[in-house]
Amino acid sequence: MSGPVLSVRGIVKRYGPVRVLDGVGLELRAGTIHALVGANGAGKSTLIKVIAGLVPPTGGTITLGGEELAALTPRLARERGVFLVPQERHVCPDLTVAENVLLGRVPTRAGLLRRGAMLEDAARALAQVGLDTLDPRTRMRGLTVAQTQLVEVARALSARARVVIMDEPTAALGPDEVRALFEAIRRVQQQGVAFLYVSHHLEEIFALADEVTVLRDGRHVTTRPTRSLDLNELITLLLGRTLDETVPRALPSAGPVVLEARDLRRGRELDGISLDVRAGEVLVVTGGIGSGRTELLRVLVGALPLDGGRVVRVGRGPVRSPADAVRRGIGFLPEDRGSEAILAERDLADNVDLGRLAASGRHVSRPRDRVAAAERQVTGLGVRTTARRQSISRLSGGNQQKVLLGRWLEAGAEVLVLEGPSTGVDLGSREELHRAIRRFAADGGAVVLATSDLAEACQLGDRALVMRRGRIAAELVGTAITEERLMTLEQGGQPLAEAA
Amino acid sequence: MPASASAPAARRRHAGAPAAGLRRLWRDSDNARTYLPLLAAILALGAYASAESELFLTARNVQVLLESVAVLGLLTVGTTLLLAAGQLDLSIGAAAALSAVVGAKLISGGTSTTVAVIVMLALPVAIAATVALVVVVTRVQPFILTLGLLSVLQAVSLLQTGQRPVSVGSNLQSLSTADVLGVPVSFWLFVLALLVGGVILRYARLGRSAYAVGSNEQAAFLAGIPVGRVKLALFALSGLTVGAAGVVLLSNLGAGDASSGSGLELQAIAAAVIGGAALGGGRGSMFGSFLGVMLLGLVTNALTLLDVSSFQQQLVQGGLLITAVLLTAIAERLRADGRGLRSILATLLRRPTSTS
Repeated sequence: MSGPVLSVRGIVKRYGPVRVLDGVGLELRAGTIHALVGANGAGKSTLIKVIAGLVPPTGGTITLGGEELAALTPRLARERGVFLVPQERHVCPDLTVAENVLLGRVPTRAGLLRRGAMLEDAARALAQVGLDTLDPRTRMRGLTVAQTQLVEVARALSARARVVIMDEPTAALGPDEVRALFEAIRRVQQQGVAFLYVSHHLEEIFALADEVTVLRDGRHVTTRPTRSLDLNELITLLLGRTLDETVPRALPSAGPVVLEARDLRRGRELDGISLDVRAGEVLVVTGGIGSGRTELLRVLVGALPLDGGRVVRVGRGPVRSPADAVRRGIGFLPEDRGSEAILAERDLADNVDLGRLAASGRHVSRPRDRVAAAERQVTGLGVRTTARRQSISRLSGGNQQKVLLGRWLEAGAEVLVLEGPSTGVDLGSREELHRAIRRFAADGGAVVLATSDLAEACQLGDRALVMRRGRIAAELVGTAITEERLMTLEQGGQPLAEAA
Repeated sequence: MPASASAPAARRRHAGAPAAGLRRLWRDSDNARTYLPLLAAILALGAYASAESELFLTARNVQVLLESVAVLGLLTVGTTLLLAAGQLDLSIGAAAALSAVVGAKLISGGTSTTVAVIVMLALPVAIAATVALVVVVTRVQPFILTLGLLSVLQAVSLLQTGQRPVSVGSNLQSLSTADVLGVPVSFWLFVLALLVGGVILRYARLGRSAYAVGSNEQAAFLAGIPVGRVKLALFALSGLTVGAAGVVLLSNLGAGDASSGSGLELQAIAAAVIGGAALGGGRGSMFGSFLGVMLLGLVTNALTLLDVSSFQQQLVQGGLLITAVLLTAIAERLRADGRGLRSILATLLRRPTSTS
């Protein structure tokens, strides 16, 4: 094959003292599909942003079509034929398909749109991705996620893309749509376009990619032809060790069932899930993007409607809304604190008080009690504050999360449903949060914790459920919970037989 | 909590240094940052007016002032409740006028004053509750919905009265003319609404939920707050203040006038925002709104005494609102960034700072 269309060498990216990328390199050749894999925080997203010109690297070089470029801007990257199809859709829903394909490049004469030429150009690009039946005059809004994604690929093609970067393209797709996407990618590949394909789903990589580059902790681990690897070997490379690290842990105390879910169904996100949560245990839920993990948690607290099935707080009644959940002693902490949990305009006391507000039947809330409650939680959870009535926005992520945990402790919650509790939290606070969660369980509370951080899953879980495509793929108990097994199961593989 | 443990010590340390204590209050209390400049502005304006006109500090003028702010004050109480939850009702002025017109028609048609007043209170509550239901169910923006309703209600009032106000003679007059402890009854009504509203915002689950909904509706929902019911209750309460404002309007004018409420909704929002509320929700207090109402009322009163034309008064009122929001925004930036005023101004002027 010919020389590389794009090569990056020795890319370093530092944020303050943190090295997110530490001397990473890879080469893309025309007409090949190159997969980029790595565990959470390995630096995949940063690397593709560097290649697309969205993030300036601290060091290293990018060579595009034989020309070494010092600084890449999004515009320069596009001019040189590098296009990123991000995880979230970037389209204008109220414009037509044709206008979206040619966004920013509509053909004009004397400043006026050449409508015929636009439709022709768009139709040509759409045909290349297998959307020949789609009328370019349709509005974007009516398209499915899969179609929208292909329109974005068509946009890249019509702009003479030589490199297309796809970030987790299958996250929101069903199996048929994934097949159609792969077909489109292969078709475009044959026209000499190079793909950089990022995905958590390792089986997709075996199905699609010619080569795979593994990143770990911001470092380049290896680049190998996909043919020379199998799933277990790839997982070992991802995690960087082969031995199970078994942490001794007391077996879960067999408390009574406090929360039960039966046959939960919701679109293709949840496909008949049943589970029991017992007092005194930490139940971990893992699973990749699109596995249904996020939806399961929201259904458990009544924040998403169900197509079928039910959630019951045993002895208290059904959970159909967050108000039900809170009244029946269930507290929920969402992963995106800023947009779903924090009251940015209010002080610490009001942020703690929010849980009690809905949980208690009382109509009166005295300022003195609010402050006292906040002080209890601030002391108990070790929140570092400077002023008594401090605004929550000025706290660090870790301290914010402690305040939010305090919200539910103060409300007297008996079941905690936590989504990525240590996302964006510093290491010290992470330890403190973990201790608080264990203490809550030891005192007889029940915890459901979803996380994509497998180390956290192993450290905290008494029991682990691995989700895949809307179902519970496997359940692990106690010391059987290891990062290797969790990852293998997330990928749909069978864990290695246990050594006797 | 370490900060509270050291609080008495801090108080002692600052006992001899009022400036430092003030600075600390300024830094730690949102309320102090809102109230102190407002109080200063009210005192300064009062001092200037009493120096320039001997009529200003007379018992009669104070009564006129208090009487003049009652309607705006009542509407501002309702608006403050709505703004706490990030809601808005632009139809309140027109609804108050409609309430006055309907009351006038009833009374002049022979209905007893008591029944008329009940209808005058109930009608705006029903209108506001309907607005809330539509907002909750269809998720339309209250701004657009109530902007449309403003026109509709104005038209209904005009259709009811034709061009001429409906006189009610001396009925209801006592609300504006009688006084208790030298203060007009209509102003006491405003004070009562303030107290009730203040208790709701500070102590009641409804008020605390309102702040949560206004600050982050999704967070409030996930924390089990019945968001729809909270909005419904707040709109209904605001409707009650609108009804009371309608009664006071009718008693002030002695007639139901279709145009008597026009522009009041914007003044009420202005008064609440000057007093610390924000259109984005999650902020505001009854005491702040009280100061906002008094400042706006004082401007009109003082400038009228000083023979300033009503056009120029509008200029001053608009300037006050702009100054208030600018000061709030700058203070926020200062606090959020922990930077100096100079560096903020440099950013605003898009010039690089030389401090680095």
